[in-house]
Amino acid sequence: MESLATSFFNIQYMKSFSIYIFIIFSCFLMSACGKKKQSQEEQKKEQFEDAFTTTEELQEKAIEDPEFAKSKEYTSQMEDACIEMSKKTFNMRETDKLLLEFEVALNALKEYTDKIKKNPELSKDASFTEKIQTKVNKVIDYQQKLKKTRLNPLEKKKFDALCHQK
Amino acid sequence: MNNILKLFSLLAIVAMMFTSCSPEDFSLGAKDVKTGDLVEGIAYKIEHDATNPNIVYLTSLMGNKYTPLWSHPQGRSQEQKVTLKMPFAGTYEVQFGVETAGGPVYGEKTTFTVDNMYAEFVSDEMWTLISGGAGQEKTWYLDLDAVGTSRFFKAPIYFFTKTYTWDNLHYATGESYIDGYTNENFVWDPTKAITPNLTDGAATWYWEADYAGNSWMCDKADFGTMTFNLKGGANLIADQDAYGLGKSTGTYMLNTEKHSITFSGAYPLHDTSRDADMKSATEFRILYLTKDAMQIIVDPTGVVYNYISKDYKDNWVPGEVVEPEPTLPDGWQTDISQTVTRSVKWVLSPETPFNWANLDGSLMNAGWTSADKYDSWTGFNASVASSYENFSLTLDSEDKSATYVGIDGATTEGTYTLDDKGYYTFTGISPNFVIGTSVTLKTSDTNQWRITKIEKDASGSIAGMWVGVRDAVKPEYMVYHLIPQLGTVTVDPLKAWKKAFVGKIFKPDVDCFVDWVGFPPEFSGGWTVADANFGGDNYTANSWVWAQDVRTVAESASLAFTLDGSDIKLTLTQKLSGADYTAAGKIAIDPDAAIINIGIPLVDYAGTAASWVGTTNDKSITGSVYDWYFVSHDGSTLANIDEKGFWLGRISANSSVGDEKDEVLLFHYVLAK
Repeated sequence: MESLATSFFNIQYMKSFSIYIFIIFSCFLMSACGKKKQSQEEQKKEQFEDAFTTTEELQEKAIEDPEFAKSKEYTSQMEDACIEMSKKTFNMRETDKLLLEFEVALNALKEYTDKIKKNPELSKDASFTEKIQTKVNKVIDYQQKLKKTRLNPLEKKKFDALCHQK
Repeated sequence: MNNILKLFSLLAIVAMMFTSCSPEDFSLGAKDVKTGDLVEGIAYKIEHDATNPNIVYLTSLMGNKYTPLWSHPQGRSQEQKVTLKMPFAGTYEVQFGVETAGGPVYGEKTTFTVDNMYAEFVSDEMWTLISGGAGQEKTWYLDLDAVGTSRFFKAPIYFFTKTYTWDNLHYATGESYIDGYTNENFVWDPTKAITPNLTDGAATWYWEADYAGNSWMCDKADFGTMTFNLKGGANLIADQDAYGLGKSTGTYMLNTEKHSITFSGAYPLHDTSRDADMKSATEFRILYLTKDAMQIIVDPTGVVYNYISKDYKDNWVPGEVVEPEPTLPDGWQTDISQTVTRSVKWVLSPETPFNWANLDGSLMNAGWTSADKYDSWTGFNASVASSYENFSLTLDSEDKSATYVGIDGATTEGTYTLDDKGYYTFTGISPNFVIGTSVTLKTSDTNQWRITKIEKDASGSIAGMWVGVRDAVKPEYMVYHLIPQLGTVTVDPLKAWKKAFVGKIFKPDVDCFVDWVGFPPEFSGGWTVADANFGGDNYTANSWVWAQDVRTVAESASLAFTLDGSDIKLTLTQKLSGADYTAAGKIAIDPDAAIINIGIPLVDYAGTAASWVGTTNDKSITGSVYDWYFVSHDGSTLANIDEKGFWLGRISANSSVGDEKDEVLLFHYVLAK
């Protein structure tokens, strides 16, 4: 009995150990939940961005190929992509949705302006500059909507950061 | 013992965790019912009500073990017993099936007959709304026409989760989820729906797509008509012949309790790309129905078609939209074409080369006042200006010749015209180049630019003009900022300012000493100039800012401008709290920005009703509280300063620091008599 009192199975040790395990387990759970939520948000954003990119590619293809623009394939693929975008932003606050759309539109524009930075000759390619202009039009559209929206300080900070991100 | 138990418990939990993680078996079970088993009289029965044979009961005899799958003249059901209220005589089909562990199994179709019409069953308001009532007919259109106009909805098609029903989208009191279309005060609360659809997830999703932004949904067209009638039956004539989908005549049946509708022989109006979906639909449900508008969801695609009644379409009057136009100052044509000579060389502003403008010419990004203020995504900054420094456009108003020098230095000759609305039309030249990385300077498809704004400096001379191309969809212009290059003669940039101010004494205008306008550079708005009750002897109408004691201070104050070497000096004198007060300071002027830095606070109205108006620009956004805006308000300029006086402005509200709006408070000074 004496040896049990000093061993690991001592009731005092067990109590302390249980509390220790409980705290560790709770921390692990909270951290896991937080990470899961963050990861879900990121996943949602990625999926939205993928769908956004798909719509842009489809629209570019439709501009280049009028037959495709009139096809059921175009309608159907645009419908799928736009519905996906709508689902990813459904129930989102209007401002959060606009900020997400703005951010994604900026990323899409940046991808193209990076190309022109690497290869300035592209600025003489009318078809390429037309595509950039289309992306710029989307960006200015979201930018103007956000400028007319009453943003809280955090949203304003994010908006300003997006406007001036390199 | 206690510890051993705890240890075993722990091991048991771990073991359970492992077993709970074992893969599940997703394979279907066996179909324990065959088609041949689902026979009328054995698996189900069809009975007419003893007192009213137009009431037909469909009853499953398979017991509660099996979920029935009924397909009947009024739609689909899964109840053990279904009651059909059949208003019209006819022979109707029924198909019975059951859900088994191996999937659904259906029996052969069978029929029942109703011998007579029973008018009571078409007395429900739904029948009247859709068809006009017994003996009547009503024609409906898809809500989009050949020019792309939707009259009630935002588009001809919306997209829903396929499970949505009428009860998910209506209150018990009748209001619906889109009542906000006709009542701006109405806010839909889905938790108050007859059957709230509040499952957290995809089931709540729907999308009221707008056609303007989603024209991919279908080409704009006249889709034809569909006419519902109640003449000897419930008939539907869908005429999409001209659209290319033919004309068909059939019947329809409403389930007024479930708000579902079935069709036979004809389909409701739809677009060509979804023709196959329409024909393979398993169910149609009405989600919205008024005398003017109707929505039908197509299951399983979840596509919702939006219809408007002929009456609504015929009587619809578009809201009167008067598009604003750029307002150019009187004599603008002379101003922009005649300086010293009739030839003006325009270059692209190195600081503010482009922007977007509203239809009235006001800039959409008024804060882009210098290269460092542009958003990064525009690809423009101070270093970009050198990339287009070769560009110029020389317009000669005498012979209408245009000389375009591109960014590569190449010169092209052409001609131009300029009409009364400010449209330049070019021939032989077509300016086109990228500014930085994102924005392209170019003319319109018809090789035109429209002047959206003309800028004059404080002396009234042309300082620049904004020309642009209107967006094909949005009500806005992409605009470029051209500034006239007037030669290289060195002149004192403050010459006009010195001429206007030096040697003169100005006093606060006691008839209209303040006004409020918007932020620079527009300084739009203002109201006190036009308000007959503001200033003068009227101390009651605006006593919060204009009172006898304010006038006393205003009349005591004067601003005397003198020359101190090459600098302008200002001496202020006034009564301050009843005592004489004098202060003097140097003036520095930024003629490009029209900002006057005055080294002393201006007239102090302490102790009066206007004590709050301030003496410095303490909310300045330029970096100095002594910076005042010289604002051309109410037609005043440096050139007419003796007649009109001048307005000095300070920032009084700034939304970027938490104020409710952006506002500049202007003080009006007039020449002392």
